[in-house]
Amino acid sequence: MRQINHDLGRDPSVRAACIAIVDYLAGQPVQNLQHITFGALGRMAGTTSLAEIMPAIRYLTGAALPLLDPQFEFIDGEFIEPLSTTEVAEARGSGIFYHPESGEQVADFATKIFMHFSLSEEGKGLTTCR
Amino acid sequence: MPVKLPEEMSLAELAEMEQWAPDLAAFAKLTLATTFDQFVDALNQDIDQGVRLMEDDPGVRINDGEDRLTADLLTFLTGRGYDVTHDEKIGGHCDLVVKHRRQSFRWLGEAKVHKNDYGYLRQGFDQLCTRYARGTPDSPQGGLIIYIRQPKASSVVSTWRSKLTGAGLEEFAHRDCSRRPGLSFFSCHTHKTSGLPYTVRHIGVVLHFNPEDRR
Repeated sequence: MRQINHDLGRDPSVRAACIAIVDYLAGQPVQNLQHITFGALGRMAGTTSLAEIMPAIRYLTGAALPLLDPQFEFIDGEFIEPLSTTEVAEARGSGIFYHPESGEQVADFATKIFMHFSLSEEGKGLTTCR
Repeated sequence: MPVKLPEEMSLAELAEMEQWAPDLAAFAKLTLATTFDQFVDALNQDIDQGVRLMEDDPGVRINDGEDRLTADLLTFLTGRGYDVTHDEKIGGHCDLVVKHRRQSFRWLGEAKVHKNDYGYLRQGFDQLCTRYARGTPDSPQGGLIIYIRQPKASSVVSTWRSKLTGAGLEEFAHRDCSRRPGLSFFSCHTHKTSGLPYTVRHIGVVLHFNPEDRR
C-alpha cells in the first residue's frame, strides 16, 4: 500500500482502484487468482468503465508493482491452449496464426484468442503475507 | 464515447476498443511489443499524456526546476507501468531512463528548462547523444524535453529546429511530429559511437503562465 500511495498519490481515482483490487486479491486463495478477467477487475474496483480501470491494470501489470501477469488463451470450442505473449504478438503482427493442435491456419484467430490476468509470482506474496 | 468494460476480451475486441480507449491501446502495444518502434510508440503516447497534465497546471510549476518538473513526468510514467528512473548513472546522470518491463528496450531522455539560450539546449542534446545514449539497436531513440516558460512556445521549438538543422550533424534529417504539431519534432543523425541512425524526439512543454485578468 505504501508503494501505491507513493506512486499514485497524485492520481486519487487510480490509487483507490488499485487499493481496492489489491485488497480483494489479498483476501483470496492463490488458486482462485489464475484467471482474472477485465470484468472481474472492474468489479473489484467498483467500475464498469474501461477508461477507469485501464490505468489501474497498467500499474498493477507494470514494473513498480507487478502483481498481475497478462495471459492469453486460444479457445476453439472445447479446445483451450495457453499462448505466450510472443506467440500472440507474432500473430497480431503478421495476421497469421496456426491452430496449435491441427496446425491449420485459423482465419478468424482474433476472435478466438482471449486475454486475461493471473496473479504474478510477486503477487503471490500478497496472499502469503496474510 | 465511454467504453463499457467487457468480461472477456478477444484480440478482435481489443483492436476495436483501442480506437476509443488510449490507455488500452498503449497497454496492448506495450504488452505485445516485439520491436523498439512498438515500445516507443506507446511511450510517446504516454509521455504526451503526462506532458498535457503538466501543461494543464503551469501556475503550480512556476518555480520548479528541471529535476522537479521531470519528477512529475517520472511519476506519471511509473503509474502507467514503465520501469523509469531519474538520474540513473548511464555515462553520466541521465534525467529520465525508461525501460520495458520484459524486453531490453531502453529510452533515454534529457530535460532542459529553456532560458532563451539555445546553446543550453544544444548542451542537452549533446549530453543525450554523446554521453548517455550508445545508439545501439535496443536503444535507438531518445528524447529532449524542453520546458518552455516563454510565450509562443512553438517559436522556441521552431528556432531550435533551425539551429539544429545547421549544426553539421552527420546524415542529419528532421520531420514533423503529428502528435504535437508545432511543439514537437523528430531529428535523426548518425550516432558517433554506434555509427547507427539515432532518433531524438524534441518535446516542447508549454509552461508559460502570465494571466492578464488581474492586472
